[in-house]
Amino acid sequence: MSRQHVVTSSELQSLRDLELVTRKTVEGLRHGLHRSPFHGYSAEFSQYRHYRPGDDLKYVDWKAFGRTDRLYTRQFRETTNLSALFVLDVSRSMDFPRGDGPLGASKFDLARQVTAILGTLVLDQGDAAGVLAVDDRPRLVPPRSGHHHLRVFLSQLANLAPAGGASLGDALKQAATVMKRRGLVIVVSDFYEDQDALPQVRRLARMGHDVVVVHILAREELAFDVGGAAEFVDLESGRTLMVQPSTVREGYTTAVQQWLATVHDTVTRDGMEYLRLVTGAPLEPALRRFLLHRRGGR
Amino acid sequence: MSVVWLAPMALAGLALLAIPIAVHLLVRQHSRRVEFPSLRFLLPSQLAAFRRRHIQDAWLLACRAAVIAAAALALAGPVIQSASRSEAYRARIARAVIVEPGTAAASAASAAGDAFVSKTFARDRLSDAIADATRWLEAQPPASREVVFVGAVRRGSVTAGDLRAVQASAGIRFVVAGGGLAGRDTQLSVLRSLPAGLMIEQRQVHFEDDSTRVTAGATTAAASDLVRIVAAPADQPLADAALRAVLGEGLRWHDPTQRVLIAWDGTDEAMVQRAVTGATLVRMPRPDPPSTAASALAVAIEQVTSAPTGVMEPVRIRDEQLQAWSRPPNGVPAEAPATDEGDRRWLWGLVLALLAIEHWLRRTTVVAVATAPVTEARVA
Repeated sequence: MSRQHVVTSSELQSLRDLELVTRKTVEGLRHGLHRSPFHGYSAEFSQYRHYRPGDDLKYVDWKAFGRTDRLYTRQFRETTNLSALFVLDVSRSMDFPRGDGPLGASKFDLARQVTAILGTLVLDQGDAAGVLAVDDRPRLVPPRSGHHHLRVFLSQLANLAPAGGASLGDALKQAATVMKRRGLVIVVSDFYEDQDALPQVRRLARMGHDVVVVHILAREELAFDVGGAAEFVDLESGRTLMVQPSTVREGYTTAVQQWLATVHDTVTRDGMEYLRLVTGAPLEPALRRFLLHRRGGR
Repeated sequence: MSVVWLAPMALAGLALLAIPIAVHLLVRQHSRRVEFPSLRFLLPSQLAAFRRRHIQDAWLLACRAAVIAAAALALAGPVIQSASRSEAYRARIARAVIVEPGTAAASAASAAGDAFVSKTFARDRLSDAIADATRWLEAQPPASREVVFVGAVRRGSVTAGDLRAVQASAGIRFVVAGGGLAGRDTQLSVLRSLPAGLMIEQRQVHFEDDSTRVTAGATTAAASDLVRIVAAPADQPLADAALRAVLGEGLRWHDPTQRVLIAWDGTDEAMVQRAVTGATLVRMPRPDPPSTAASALAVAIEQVTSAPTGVMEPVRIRDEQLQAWSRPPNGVPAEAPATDEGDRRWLWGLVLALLAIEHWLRRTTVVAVATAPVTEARVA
């Protein structure tokens, strides 16, 4: 089977100068660019604190003692590497709109592109990245680092195809077990299962993970510009419904907007990042704004 | 028990059963299908929204097919011929009731009885009523036919000629209504010679169905020259004797002031002219033979002195005659099917019920679609 082209090189090159940095401190095993949740004793000075018996005397700032006659212990910010897990929805609902169009034609294509780009950025900066593909049978590529793993990561993404239904809530529970240390969890989905998924997303955030919700939507879903009565088929359940779009369009769009607002508010209320991407819209500017926003929040 | 179809050609309408089946199949095959990520936010449209491959679709199809089948069967007009229905069919009768004007309506209604179908005819002329009744009977569905005459059946009101206009297959029956003719009274003034002289006597006459009763009343004295008779000298004794005999029995004398002069042929004309002054002159031939002189004289006088009473003697047609004219109706033609009856009304009722069920099924399906996606369609 030929390997599919997940992301164009131009898209990747345009973002390679950006670092995927986390706004929160993360726990890692290696030194890196990211702030550690622990105040260790590394190269970068962080702050002073009052001396406590037992502190290593070599970190006592004697000059400050001379000036103030008080003992202060210097603390350093320890940098470590990032472990990122992409929870990617590969259910049938992501296979929309269907067709053999160019890259980014369907929600799944867009989600895979985003995952590949961000995963490549994470791996290129020396951090670990993994992916948990969510469909009927969740498949996990554990977070690892290294250029070899980048090939594995991209290869696994290329081999994914939308199939079956999604149990995003269960997958996020599994993600909580995979991410034993606090890290970055990026959930890429259309979130039609939001009532089960969002509580698990909030649970991950409460566990200390830096959670990013990437909400993937199709332009056709938002506009609902379907003409004439048609039999609508649910991509996952196969359930059918005769619908006269002209009579339900207003109610549909209103309900969708309310739903989007609810998801956004739920995610951002707990301090999580929310990124909404729509098929057909330019991807690169949206990602650039997102990454610059995260860097600015550092 | 058997079934007779009144309009068997309508059974071809069962072929229309193919329409709802074809519609279901064609809609299923040719409807545009749009794959959509989730039906979560798709409320069903008010006009056309139903779930397919759902058991209710089969019920809907079956219901629609049943509507067409029931309508076709109703149009075909089935008649289920059971034993009881056949017996009732053979016993039914179409009855034309001819009512004599003035007869009570209740009598006509009771005469109609338990007829399968009946109609009352009241015309001024009996022949018109019989003609209308005959035409009406011929237009009725197969049944025994009968013409019933309701009224007083006075003599002369119905004749054998009238009854010949009634078709031979129809029975004839008479119903004497009113419980008998009413008695009537009248008063007569009679000029009579009594020992006290010539008198005007008032008589009360009462007519009954089968008897007449006369009662003498008050008498008043009358002028002695109210009635005179003149004749040739040879006939004068006979004339006087005849007049006395007539007055002895009495003459109807309507006007007590009227004077009458009877002149037999052969009387001297000059004498007649002298005597007639102020009197009504009645000329008459000399009665021959002389023995008839009194009766001839009475007839001649009463022609000018009596007045019509306006009272007919009420005589009913004899029961024997009515019995002779009556005849039973022929039965229902055995070869005639019961084409005027049918069970189609029950089938039309079934059609209405099925239409209501079909409407309910459609509403139920739409409601189910409107409420079900909350849990099912969200699984996307």
